[in-house]
Amino acid sequence: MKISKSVLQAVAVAIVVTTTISACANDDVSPEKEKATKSQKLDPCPACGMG
Amino acid sequence: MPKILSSIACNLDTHILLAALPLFEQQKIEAIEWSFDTLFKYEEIPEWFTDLISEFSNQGRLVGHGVFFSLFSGKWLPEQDIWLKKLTAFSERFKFDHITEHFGFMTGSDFHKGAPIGIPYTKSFLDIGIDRLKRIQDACQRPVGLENLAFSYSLEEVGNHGDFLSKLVESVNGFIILDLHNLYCQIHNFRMDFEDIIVLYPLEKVRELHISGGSWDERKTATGEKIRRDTHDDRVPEEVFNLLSATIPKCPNLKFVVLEQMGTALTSEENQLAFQRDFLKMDAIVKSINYAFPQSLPNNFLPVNRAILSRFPLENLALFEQQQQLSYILETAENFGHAQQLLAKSALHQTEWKVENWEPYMLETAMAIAQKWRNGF
Repeated sequence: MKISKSVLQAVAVAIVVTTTISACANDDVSPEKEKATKSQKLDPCPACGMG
Repeated sequence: MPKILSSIACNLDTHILLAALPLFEQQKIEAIEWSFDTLFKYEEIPEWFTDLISEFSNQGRLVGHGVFFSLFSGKWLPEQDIWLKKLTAFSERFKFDHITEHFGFMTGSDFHKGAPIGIPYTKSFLDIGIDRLKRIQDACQRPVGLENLAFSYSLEEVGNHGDFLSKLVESVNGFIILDLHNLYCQIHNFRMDFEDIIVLYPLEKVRELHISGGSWDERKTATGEKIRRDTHDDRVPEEVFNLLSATIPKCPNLKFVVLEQMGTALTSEENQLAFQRDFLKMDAIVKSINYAFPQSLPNNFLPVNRAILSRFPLENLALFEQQQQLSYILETAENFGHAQQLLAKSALHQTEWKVENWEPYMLETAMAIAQKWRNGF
């Protein structure tokens, strides 16, 4: 199914930002930066697969 | 001619989205299944994600797959009330093709902990399940379905699961999701043949098929083989692809085939590429079998009549007490022997739960599942 380019670009940017923030989180001690990390990091979602 | 839509389970998860992005860009993904209730705990959902969901919603390619409703809880929980209200709000915001939930009740001390565990196939539980399905349908005004379980305590349960599912969804002109990896678990753990187990399910009611990977447990079956578990953390086994090829032609109302995998199993580029290859393989199977289908789907699974709901949800507090005791035992027993001792002293002893007939290796597996998820996600 075709998805608009702008939506795909937004998803791609969000993923990159989240991945970068997650990868840097261990070195990150600033409360402000930590706040940003928590607000943007995505959850691993269980959905099914609980067996 | 109706088309079967090759779909993925797509949630707000970095690694799932990373794995799926190339497939989105190539326009390969025809629909998505979204576990909407995993986001109920958030006040806001990122706009870029709702935009993605809306793309599929606007084209009638979005299905909702609940995780946390706990269909068979013997007591009506405040969280279930909230869940229904949020489902209504989401259904007004997004156009779901249909809404589904899992079979069973959730172990765990609160609504976001625990795992779905089976129940005895009795009239009492059938009545509770029908009451809950009607409330879900009333809340979303969409076709409603239930997914088959991967887990059974005994061969007798495996034999009766499909018939019980059929009776449940019949009450709302509903449908079933047949998860083929769940079926694979049953085939392996109870040494059944595909041809013998597939006829136990109401195949005319299958609107959605799932495939996924899983894992081998160290625990052993009665014949000394490792237990197969539905953990969604690996590639789709060849056997499950074979089940897909064999099952599609048997399901005249099939509309969606969904590949599911946990984001936690998609952290490496290698795993993400494997996910993409699994999707393309699934899509090739779906496309190769499409020709066999009728000109229109015989059943749209829409509500035939507006559900008549009793003012107060049906409850059975004795069953709820048994569920609480079972959850506690599964989550806290130190080992199999301890669990058996606790069950023998519990309210489940010599009841319709038939705990005396549970296969020891499946009781151990149930303990492993409950203890894995007791602290939530």
